[in-house]
Amino acid sequence: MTPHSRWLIRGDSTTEQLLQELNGKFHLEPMQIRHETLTFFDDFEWHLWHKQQLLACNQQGQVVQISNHHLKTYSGEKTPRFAQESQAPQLRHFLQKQIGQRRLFPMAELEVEFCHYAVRNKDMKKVCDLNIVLTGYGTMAELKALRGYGREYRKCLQRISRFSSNPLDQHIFFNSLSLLGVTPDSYRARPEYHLQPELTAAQACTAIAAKLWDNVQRNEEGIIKDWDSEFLHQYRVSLRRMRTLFSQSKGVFHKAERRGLCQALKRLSDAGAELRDLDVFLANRSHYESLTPQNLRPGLETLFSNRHQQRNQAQARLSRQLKSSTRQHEKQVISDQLTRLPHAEGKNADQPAADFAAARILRSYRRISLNAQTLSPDSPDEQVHQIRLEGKKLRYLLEFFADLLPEKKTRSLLKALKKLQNRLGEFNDCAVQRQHLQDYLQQNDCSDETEAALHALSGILFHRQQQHKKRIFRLLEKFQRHSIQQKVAALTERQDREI
Amino acid sequence: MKILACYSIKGGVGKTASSVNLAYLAARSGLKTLLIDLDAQGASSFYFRIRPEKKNWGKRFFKTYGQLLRQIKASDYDNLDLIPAHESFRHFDALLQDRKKRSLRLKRVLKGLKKEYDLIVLDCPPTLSYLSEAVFHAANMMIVPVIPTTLSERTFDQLQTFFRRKGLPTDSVYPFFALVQKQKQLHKSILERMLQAHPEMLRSRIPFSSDIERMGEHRSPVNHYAPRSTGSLAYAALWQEIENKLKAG
Repeated sequence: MTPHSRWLIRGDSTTEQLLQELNGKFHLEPMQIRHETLTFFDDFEWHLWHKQQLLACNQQGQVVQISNHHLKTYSGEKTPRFAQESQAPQLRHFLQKQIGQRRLFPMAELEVEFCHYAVRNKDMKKVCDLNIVLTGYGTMAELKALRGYGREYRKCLQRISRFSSNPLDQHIFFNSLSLLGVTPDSYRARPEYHLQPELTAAQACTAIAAKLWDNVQRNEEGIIKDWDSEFLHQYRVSLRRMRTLFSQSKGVFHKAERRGLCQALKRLSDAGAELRDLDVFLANRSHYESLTPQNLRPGLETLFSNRHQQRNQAQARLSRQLKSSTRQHEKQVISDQLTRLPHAEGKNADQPAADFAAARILRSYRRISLNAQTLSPDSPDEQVHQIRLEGKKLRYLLEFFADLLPEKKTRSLLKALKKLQNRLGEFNDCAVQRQHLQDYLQQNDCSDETEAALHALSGILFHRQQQHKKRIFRLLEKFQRHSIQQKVAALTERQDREI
Repeated sequence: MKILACYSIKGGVGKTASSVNLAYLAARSGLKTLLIDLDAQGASSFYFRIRPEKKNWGKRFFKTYGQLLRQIKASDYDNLDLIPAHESFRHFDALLQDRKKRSLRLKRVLKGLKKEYDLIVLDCPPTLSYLSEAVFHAANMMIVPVIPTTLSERTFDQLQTFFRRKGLPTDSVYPFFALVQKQKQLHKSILERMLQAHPEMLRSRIPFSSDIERMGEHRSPVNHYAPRSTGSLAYAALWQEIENKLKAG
C-alpha cells in the first residue's frame, strides 16, 4: 500500500501558506477545484458507516466512495439505490460486498470545497496527490504518495507537519457528519441484549423478547413500502427468534401465555411466507439459469416473469394486511402482553439466567443428536428439515444468552453449527424450490419449452439435494463427536453432566 | 495476466511510441497494466517522465520478481505503472549468457506479477539476442511494427526465419504497419504485397504523424494530449484489435 496521511489545518491563511511552502520545493498543479453539495448514502443497517466507508453523490452524477485509504470518484452514475444498479463494475462489486441486497437511503448533506493538486517534481512528473477538503468542520490536507515515490512523499510530509500537528485518523467527512449529529441507528439485525449475570431467567427472557419485538416493528415500514427484500427477511427472522424464545422458556412463563404468544407470532410470520419464498427464488435467478442447460434457458423466462408478477401481488397483499386495523390490533395485543411479562411466572422464572440457558442448550444439543441418530439415507426430507429447525433453536439460544456464556467457546460452537446449518439450508432450499417448480407445472398450462426447462432444473436440484444430504450425514457425524460434546459441556460449565 | 511484447529487430520503427500508447490505452480500458522498458535507451521511461533508480540493479533483474516489485513506479495515469529502463540493462545479454534455461528466465520472473497486473507490456530493444529469445518465450502475443519499406520488410522476414529455425510458434506474432505515408508510392506497393503475403497482419495502420512525433515534447502518450488526432485514433483501433486477440487467446 502506498503511503498516505491526513492532517487537519486551522485557518484559511495556513492553507495558503502550506501551498506556498510546497510550491517552493515542488510544482503544485491544480487538477480539480470544485464547490459542491454531497449527499451521503447508507442502508438501513448503516453497513457502510460501521465499516468506516462513506458513499456520496453530487449533482453532476458523480458517486464518491470514501474509505480510510482512498477516495474514488465514479462518473455517469445515477443516484445510488441498489448495488446491482451501479454502472462501474468496481463500485458494483464494492457495494455488493458491503450492503448485499439492501437499499441505500440519503442520510445527510454536506457543503464541500474540494481542491485536488498534483505534486510534481522537477521533471514535472506527478509524485504525490494532494487533496485540500474544506467542510464545516475545518480543512483537511490529504497527501497520498504514488508508487515508487516514497522519498518525495516524506519531503512533502515534512513541510505539511510544519503547519499542522493534528493528524486525522479518518476522513474529515466523518468528523463533519458527526458534527451534524449524524450517528448510526441502534438497529441491529442480531440485537445485542447486554444481559447481566445477576438476571433471573424471566428477566433475561423478557429483555430478549422486548429487543426482538422492537426489531419486528422497525422492519414493518420497509415491508409496506417495499424498500428491499431484507426488511421482510429480518422481520420474519425476528418473529422466529421470538417464537423460539417462548417455546424454549418452559417453566419461565405461564404455559397459556407462552402458547398464546407463539401462535400470534406464527400468524404474523406466516403472512409473509409466500412473499419471502418468491423473493428468494427471484434473487437466485442467475444461479438457476446457470444450473439449467443453455439451450433450455429461454424456457425459464415465462416462469420468472410469472413469479415476478406473483411477487408483486403477494407484496401488495402483505402490505394491505400490515396496514389493516385487524393486524394493528393483533400487534397491540402482543405489545401489551410483552409489556406485562412476566405477569404469570413459572417454576423456573427465578432461576439464574445462566443456569437456565445452560440447561436449554444442553437439551437442544441432545435433541439434535437424538434426531441425527435416527436419520438414514432413506429418511424423508421432513426429517432432515426437523434437524434444521432444531439447529436453529440451538443457534438462537447460543445467541440470546451469549453475554452469559464464555465468548470463545460460544464462537467455536456457533462456527461448527453454522457449517451444519448452511448445508441443511441448501438442502432445504433445493427441496422447497423443487416443490415450487412441481406446483407451477401442475397449476399452469406450460409450453413444451418451459416444461422441458423446469424438468431439467428440477432434476438438477434433486441431484444437488442428494449431494447435500450426503454431506449432511458427514457433518452430523462430526457434530456428535466427543470434541463437540466437550465444547457444549464446557460452554455450560457442566463437565460432570453426561450428554 | 497477459504479456504483450512490442518487438522489432530494426530500430526507429515506432516500438516505443506503440508500447507507450498501447499501455496507456490498456490502462484506460480498466486493465491494471505494467509497462517494462527493456531498452537501455529508456525512451518509454522518458515519455512518462520517470527516472530509474541510481543504483545499478540490472544484474538482479532475472533473480526474483521481488526485485522487479521494488523498481515499479506509478505513472501519472490510473492503472498504469512502469519499470523504467536502467543503463545496466545493456548488459542483459552478458547476464543471460551465464544462466541456465536463459530463454525461460523472463517468463518465470514475470509470472510473480500476475496477482497485481492484468497486462504487462514489454518495450524491447532492437536486437536479436538472448534477451529477445527470453521475450519470445515470455510473451502471449508479440506485435512487430513494420514500416512499409524494403529494409523493414526484410527484417520482418529475418525474424520469421529465426522463429522457424528455433522452432518457436509464429502464430502469436502479429506485424502491423507503422509510420505509413499513404502518398508514397513505395509504401503503397509494399503495403499491398505484405498484406497478401502475411494474412496475420493487423488491420490497423499507424500513420506517420506529427502529433505522434510531438510525444517527446509533451512527454505523455499521444492519446492523452491529442485524443482526436489521426495518430491517436489509429492507436485506439490497434489496441481494440490487440485486445480482441488477447481475449480470444
